[in-house]
Amino acid sequence: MSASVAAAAPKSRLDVVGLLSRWGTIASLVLLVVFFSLKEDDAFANSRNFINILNQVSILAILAAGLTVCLTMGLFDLSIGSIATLGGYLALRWGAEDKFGLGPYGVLLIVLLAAVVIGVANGVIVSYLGVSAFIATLATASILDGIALGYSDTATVQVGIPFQILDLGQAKFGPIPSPVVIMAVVMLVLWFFLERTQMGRHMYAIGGNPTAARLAGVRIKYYAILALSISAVCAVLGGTVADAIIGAGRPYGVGSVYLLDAFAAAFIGAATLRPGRFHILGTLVGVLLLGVINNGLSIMGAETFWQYIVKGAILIVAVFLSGTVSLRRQGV
Amino acid sequence: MDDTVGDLDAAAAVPVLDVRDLVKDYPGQRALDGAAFEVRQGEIHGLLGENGAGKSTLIKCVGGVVRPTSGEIRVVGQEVTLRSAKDAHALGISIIHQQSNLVGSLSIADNLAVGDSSSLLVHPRAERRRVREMLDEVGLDLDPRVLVASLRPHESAMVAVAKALHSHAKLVILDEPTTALSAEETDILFGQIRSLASRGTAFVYVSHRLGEVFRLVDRVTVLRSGRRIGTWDAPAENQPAILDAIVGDKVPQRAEQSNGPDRGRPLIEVRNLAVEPCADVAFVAHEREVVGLAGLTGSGAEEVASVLSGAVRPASGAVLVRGEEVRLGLPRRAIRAGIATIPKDRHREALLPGFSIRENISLASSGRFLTDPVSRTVRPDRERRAVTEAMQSLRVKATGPQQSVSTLSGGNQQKVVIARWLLEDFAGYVFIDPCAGVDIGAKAEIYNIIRARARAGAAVVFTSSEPEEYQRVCDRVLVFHQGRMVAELVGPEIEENAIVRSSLEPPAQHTLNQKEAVS
Repeated sequence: MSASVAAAAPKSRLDVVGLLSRWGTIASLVLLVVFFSLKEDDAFANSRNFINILNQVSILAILAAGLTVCLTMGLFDLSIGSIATLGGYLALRWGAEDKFGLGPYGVLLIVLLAAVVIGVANGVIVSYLGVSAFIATLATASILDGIALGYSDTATVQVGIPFQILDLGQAKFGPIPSPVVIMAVVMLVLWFFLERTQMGRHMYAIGGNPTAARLAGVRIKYYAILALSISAVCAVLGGTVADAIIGAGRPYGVGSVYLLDAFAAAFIGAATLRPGRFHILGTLVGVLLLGVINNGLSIMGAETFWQYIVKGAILIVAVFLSGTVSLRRQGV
Repeated sequence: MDDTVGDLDAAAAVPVLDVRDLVKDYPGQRALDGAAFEVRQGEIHGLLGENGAGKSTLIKCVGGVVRPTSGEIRVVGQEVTLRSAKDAHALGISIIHQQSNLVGSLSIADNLAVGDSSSLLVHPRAERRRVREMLDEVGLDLDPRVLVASLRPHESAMVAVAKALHSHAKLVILDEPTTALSAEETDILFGQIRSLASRGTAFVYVSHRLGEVFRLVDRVTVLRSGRRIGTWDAPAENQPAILDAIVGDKVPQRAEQSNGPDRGRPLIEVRNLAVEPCADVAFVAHEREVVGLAGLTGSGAEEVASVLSGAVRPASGAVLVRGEEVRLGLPRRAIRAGIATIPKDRHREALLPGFSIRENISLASSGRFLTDPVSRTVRPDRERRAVTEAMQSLRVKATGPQQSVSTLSGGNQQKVVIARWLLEDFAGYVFIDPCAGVDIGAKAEIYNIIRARARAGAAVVFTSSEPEEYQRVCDRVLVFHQGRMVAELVGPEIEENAIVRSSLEPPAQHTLNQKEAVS
């Protein structure tokens, strides 16, 4: 009796906070698009600029999607920025040197394998040494930064980069730039992974209650390694695309730009449709929200500092809404 | 200590603590129903009763942690209203719990200084001297710089007593202080308690270990169903009457006739199991049989069940399912070997809060709905159908599989937890206190689910914090007492009385053997 009453109660009246927490981020995205379209109709509201926005957010989206996989399990991966930097640098440098004699695609494969190695290392430190992911990835980030600087002698690679690698950032499929295609593929694959496979289910379960998941036979350590590997692979992919767009392999400052935005996007995503849960679709909304703000404000000619202030404010509101609702649902 | 002899005599006439007609209602349940309790100065008073008799609620009321619904509490003749633990403390009432209120990572000196705000600055030498005096008072010869975490349990209990006395406690309530103590340590603790009592401090001693209680206390009060059944002087001589009072006269009730003689082949075999506090436990659970593991908290019954579930790795021993040894300490291995466990604390150990009923039920068996073993894609239609079926067969009251599990009542949540293990047939089921915090109607349904599992051929191991449940579901009950199996009850022998008696005071020369048994 009491259960059915409790379940029916939120539906019987207009639940403003509940609605806002589900649809608030999507509504703000729509409102922002409408606002910028009215204000700057020529410059903002045209298909070229929309594709431009997608292109601008693609690297962030690739990193944030990988991060989302970690966050479903409650793992904070702070190393994605550094992995992106090192991965991108290695791809371009080894590509330029044709390091292994396997051609550019061979290099890409080896760099992605290196990403898996880094991710597994992160996972082993977290699972088997019992270091919290927050600290462990902070530490590996520092180590990877050091490796990138030492290996490169702080020199940027600009010469001899094969076109196959540059194409990752510069090619176009019709009107669609390749980074947008890569973003779409990554998001689709990870969406399917989290929503439709047993592994995704298990990761969510671990994030919901690790003790219960363990007692239900879920291998928590294995999934920590898997999640951190996925985010590392995404980071390397994102870093490579970032360097390919510019055509230069930079040993520093590539990924760090995206680190905080990736977290912001994922947390905005956790306030979308399914409050309190990280999911790919939500992360996409978060990424687009950040992209539209950046793009719209710069078209309006607002100074850059406004982008940061608006982003921060939106993040606080989003996290607040997802938090209050998920806490209330748990009856806290 | 500064009181004159005359004051002491005058005060002795008035009880330190006098509780009258105390009522405490919790939603849906009356924990105290007009309880009375009285403690004289300088006495050691045992407070006894089964789980749920109202002991801890009474203590919480006296300690200011819980506000009683009605009734009065008098401290040295004065009626008082206790709004917080601080109020009780100011009146000289101090409660020392099993896991004492000390901070393990701090030294003895730091612990004894905590909450003592006589001066802002700490003078190390003066402080150490003061702490030494406090320890001397309770007969402890310890270095004040030692960390509390490194103390033996009886030592930290006495440090807690020293702290209580320092804040001028007139009444010290010891709540199960000896669960972690050896026999010698218990003796030392008792000696110190007696010597303090002879100097005027009153003690209330709460324990399940009746043997100890009878050795230590001057008087005994028994609670049952939130009421005082009686108070006895000279408890050792009145032991049988006190035991009767604790157990009460209960009519055995049986939900369903057991199918004991019908049991099949051995299914789960436990050999030479050593897991704190048990040294060597062995038993067999057969097909179509519900085996109860009974005993008080810390007796070993629940610990053995936790080993079967894979949650706890034992020091040594083996568990075999259908003759195959199971690797212990890994829930995944236990599950794969065919043992499903409904853990004790559903919120901490089973439920995924805020997740849908579907996600909660299919968690352990999503492998059944995969399209292929490589991508491990879950087929939502098949999953949904199986979950809906399980919900219907267990009669989970909900709007549908997508409803959040956190909005369900306790009984329905527990059914969801059970349903998680019914999508597949397991050889063995371990139910650890499955009816805790569940309403009466759902309890009966859960008993039936358990019986149905056994009927379907499974071996079921069952533990409960309420002794009366065993007779309703079990074919056989093994009673644990301080890590040993002390009784085996079969069929009609399974009654609450028998279980409670052997778990409190096991048959045979238990009291004689207590020392050897513990050491």
